[in-house]
Amino acid sequence: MGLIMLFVTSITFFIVRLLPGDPVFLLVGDHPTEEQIEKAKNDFGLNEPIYKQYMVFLQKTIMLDLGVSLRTKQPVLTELSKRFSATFELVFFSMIIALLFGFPMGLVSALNQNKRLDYFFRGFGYLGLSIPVFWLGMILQIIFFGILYWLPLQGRYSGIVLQDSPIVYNSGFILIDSFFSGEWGSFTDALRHIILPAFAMAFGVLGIVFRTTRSATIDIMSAPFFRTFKFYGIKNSEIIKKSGYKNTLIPVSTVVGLSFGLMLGGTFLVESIFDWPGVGQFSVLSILTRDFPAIVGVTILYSFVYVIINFFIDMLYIIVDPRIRD
Amino acid sequence: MSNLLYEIKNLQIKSTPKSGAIKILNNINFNIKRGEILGLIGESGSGKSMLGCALLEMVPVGCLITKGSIVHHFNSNKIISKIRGVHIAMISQDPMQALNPLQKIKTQFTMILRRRFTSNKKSTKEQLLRWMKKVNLHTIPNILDRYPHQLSGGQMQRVMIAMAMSINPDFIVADEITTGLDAGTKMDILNLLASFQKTEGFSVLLISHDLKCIQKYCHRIAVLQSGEIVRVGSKKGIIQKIKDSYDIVIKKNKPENTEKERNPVLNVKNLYKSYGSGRNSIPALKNITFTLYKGETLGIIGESGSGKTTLVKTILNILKRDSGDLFLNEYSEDKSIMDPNRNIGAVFQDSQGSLNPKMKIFDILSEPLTLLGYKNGQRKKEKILIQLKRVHLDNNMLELYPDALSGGQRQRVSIARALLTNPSIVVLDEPTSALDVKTQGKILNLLLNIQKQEKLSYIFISHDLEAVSKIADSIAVLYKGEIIESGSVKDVLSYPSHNYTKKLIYSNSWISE
Amino acid sequence: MIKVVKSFFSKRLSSTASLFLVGLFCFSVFIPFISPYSQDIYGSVHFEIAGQPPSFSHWFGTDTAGRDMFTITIRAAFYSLKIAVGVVFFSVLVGVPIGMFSGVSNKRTDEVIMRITDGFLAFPPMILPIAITAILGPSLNNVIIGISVSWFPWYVRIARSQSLVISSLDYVSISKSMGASKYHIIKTHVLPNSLTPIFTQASIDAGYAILTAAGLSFIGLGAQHPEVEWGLLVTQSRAQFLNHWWVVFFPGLFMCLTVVCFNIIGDEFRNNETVEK
Repeated sequence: MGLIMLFVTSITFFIVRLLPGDPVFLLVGDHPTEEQIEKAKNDFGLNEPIYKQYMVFLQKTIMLDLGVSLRTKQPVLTELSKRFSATFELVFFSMIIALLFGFPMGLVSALNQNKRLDYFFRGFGYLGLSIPVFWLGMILQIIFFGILYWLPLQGRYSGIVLQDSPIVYNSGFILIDSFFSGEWGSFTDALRHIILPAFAMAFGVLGIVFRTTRSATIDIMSAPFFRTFKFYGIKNSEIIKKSGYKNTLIPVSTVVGLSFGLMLGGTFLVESIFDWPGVGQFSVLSILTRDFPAIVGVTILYSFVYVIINFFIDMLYIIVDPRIRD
Repeated sequence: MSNLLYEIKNLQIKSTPKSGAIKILNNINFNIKRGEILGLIGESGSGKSMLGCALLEMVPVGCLITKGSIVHHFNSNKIISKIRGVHIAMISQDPMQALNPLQKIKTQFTMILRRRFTSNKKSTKEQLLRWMKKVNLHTIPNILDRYPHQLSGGQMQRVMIAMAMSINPDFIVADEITTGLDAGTKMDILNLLASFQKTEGFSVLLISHDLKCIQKYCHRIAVLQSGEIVRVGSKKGIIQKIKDSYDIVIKKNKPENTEKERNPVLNVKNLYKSYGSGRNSIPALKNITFTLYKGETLGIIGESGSGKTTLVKTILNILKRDSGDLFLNEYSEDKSIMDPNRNIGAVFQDSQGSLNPKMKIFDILSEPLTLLGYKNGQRKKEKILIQLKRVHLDNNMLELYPDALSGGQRQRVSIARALLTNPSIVVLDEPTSALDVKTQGKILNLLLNIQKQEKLSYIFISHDLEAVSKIADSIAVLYKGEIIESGSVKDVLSYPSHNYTKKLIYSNSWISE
Repeated sequence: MIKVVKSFFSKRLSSTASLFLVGLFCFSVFIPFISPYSQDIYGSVHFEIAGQPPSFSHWFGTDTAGRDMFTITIRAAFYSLKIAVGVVFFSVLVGVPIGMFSGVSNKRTDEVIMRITDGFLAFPPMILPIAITAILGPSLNNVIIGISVSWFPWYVRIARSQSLVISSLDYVSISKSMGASKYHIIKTHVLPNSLTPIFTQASIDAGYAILTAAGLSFIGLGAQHPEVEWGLLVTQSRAQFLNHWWVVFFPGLFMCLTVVCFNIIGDEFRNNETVEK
């Protein structure tokens, strides 16, 4: 686990230095003098030989000092934690939507194979897998904002609403914070803001969850133990409800974990369109402006999250499948 | 109340592939009486399982009842599918797969009881405990809280029997319920079922390909051949007729080797193989030593779990042994061989994928020649045709794929393939186990003939005592990775010394009346 | 192999999908010669007719620079499909041999190769393509390279697991006992029996390659003019999209349809996979 993180971040460290363009200009502005360039380079240790920079980097990282963003001049750690909660909230919400709809759809589809409902759901699932997420986002904006004016265009919350019902920041997750502090105004406002981007993201994942659930359920229906229960006269839907669903959890949770990773990696598209202040936007801008510390910080964050998710999935496997425990 | 439980008249079941339906069962006429154990015997592929499924109205998707009727006389007006789990139960083969591996036994058992009886939690729990006691599983701690993989095959099958009994059925279908279990367990399971039947009085359809277990437990017997019932009747008459027809197929006993000189061709000494390392190492083979003589067959008897697969792979040198020597007497100096050697060929069991399904028979047979270095296409073809003739296959089979051939034909191809490298030794791992008795006989005869012509030496590994005794000159019994007994066929089978060997022989023999 | 292709075309849905893709590709190749607005592809602008909704003369309307949306949308298919095929081609070419070799090798070699592969797979999906196109400079070919480098490890994995499964089958054991080399086993047994799952993944990836490339264009790291693929098309007209829905709608629609077709084809291969089992 730790080895993977080390590998990923080290590679990033070196790749980033291959990017064309000199980050120094971020620090000193458009028309720097020789002295200013030299000073900036020294301040940020960019004059040191590369292995020395690497050592310093490793030391600092272990102590959680991720440096300062060359672009925003803020500590990387602060930037990341601020934005991570925004991205995470969005991804989490999307995942819930995807599961809430995708999983039951998959079960129902498998139990009603080749009937009209199955075809309908499958078509829906196909669509979800194929729709480009930014296109969907824009179309949703056109429909729900441009034409219907039901939902806000972008952002995480509206400033005006905030004045009336301020949010007590505890976790950084606006929905949770406002819910538990009883600030209904900001809660509904945040909800209205999160619906479109979450839905845009969820649609794609829904397709994957649906397809995986459906094919896993079909596999289970041809498993020997399924036949046993049928011999005893129990109906398909009951078998799944009381026993078979467990067997779907393993492939589905694998896919959920993978999707989480995929979503985290693809949030920048949605964040750009909906102006969501998350890590996605931050990471892309960092890459485009050669903001080394920020890029590396983002990579560390992403690989860390990925490792944690895999860990949770492995835990889930152990809970669900008793054979692994022995 | 009618004496009959089931009346089956003119039943026909066809499968429905797009290019013309195949008759799976045809012209089936028989009855099942109340309180009797009816044995259904037939070769694999004869349609036995299909018949069992039909009685439960669970004909698989893709098959239809096209003619005839199944009339039941259970105490109910409902159709069969409604009384599944109430008046009828089924026990299948492979008990390890019969239940959901992710759920506890008690949860699944409860599901079945709930369908049958509407009772509260407490009484269900009591019922479960009672049944565990009845099948002798109550000595296992926390049996009900266990998961399927935590029990052995025999224990799981007892659970399945308990389940079947617990719904108080009038009829049970037992479909090959002892496949995969070792000799002693087989008898225990069948004894358990039979004793329940005596006390409770339900009817049983005992489906099997094992004539000996049918003989022991059934009142009447029906014989299924290629989808049709060829005989129904009382036990005595049927058994004798079958015995007679089977014995014609194969020569009774292999004549003893009267030659004075016995030349050893293979010397295996102190073979050891374990899997894993350190504390977790699992020994698969311990101190295997034997000698194979020219022109003779060494039969190795081993059931599943005895280590025979490991032994085969080790002898062929596709699995590296831990220690021990393999001396091949083709070489003038005694060198212990470590790599695959073209003097040792192999024939495996058919059902496990012996032939690459995507290759034509011609390509399958070319492979050994290509590996030997033959480049000339014409010479290759000549050699292939020679071997094809030897195994009695037609030339036009070369263009076919394995799935177009029958089991017997595929095994002939496997034998031809082994012969193409011109080996002096052939290792045969369960070569006839997936075939029906008649084809088994033909293949064994073929092997014997080739052995005589070419003076080949065989290592014939099987769990089937009958087949081994027909082809082997000497026998070694493999049990838990060790050879516990060896000697000439006559000696070992007539005067077994080890308990396991005795059990093996007993469960494999005819019970003379 | 022939069997697979045959059963494939007997299904109506997948043959329709394949036909659509082939047709679209041909159309995109020939459109410069057919369309009256072919100059728009190469960047000619007509601000006087900018921003017109779909009409009889401009079926998909015009964009903010007055270019005919229909023509440039169809032309973009050429580049997007090129990306799809290119990515899949390279990923398979590099990933599959490595994976198969890993599967027939001894445990240590296999473990080393898989650890490295896992390392690659640990990167969040878009990071490597973004990094590579940023380093090499945005262009169609670099997009193909970038995405391939990020995706080929998946093929290593698939090929390896197929390789492991097949090497454990009896007919491979027999080959080994006859002295077959690793190369022989891969060529004769592993490869022909692994085609289906590889094709399944490849079809689906072709679709995703298009979407990923579009994402790259969105942040400016994708293909550049004149190799305008669908993603770039959408990005170019992004500013006015609220009032000009057609500049965003049609490219996205075609993207969606194309990816759906690839998914349908992939599903068909997957069905064959289950049948074979």
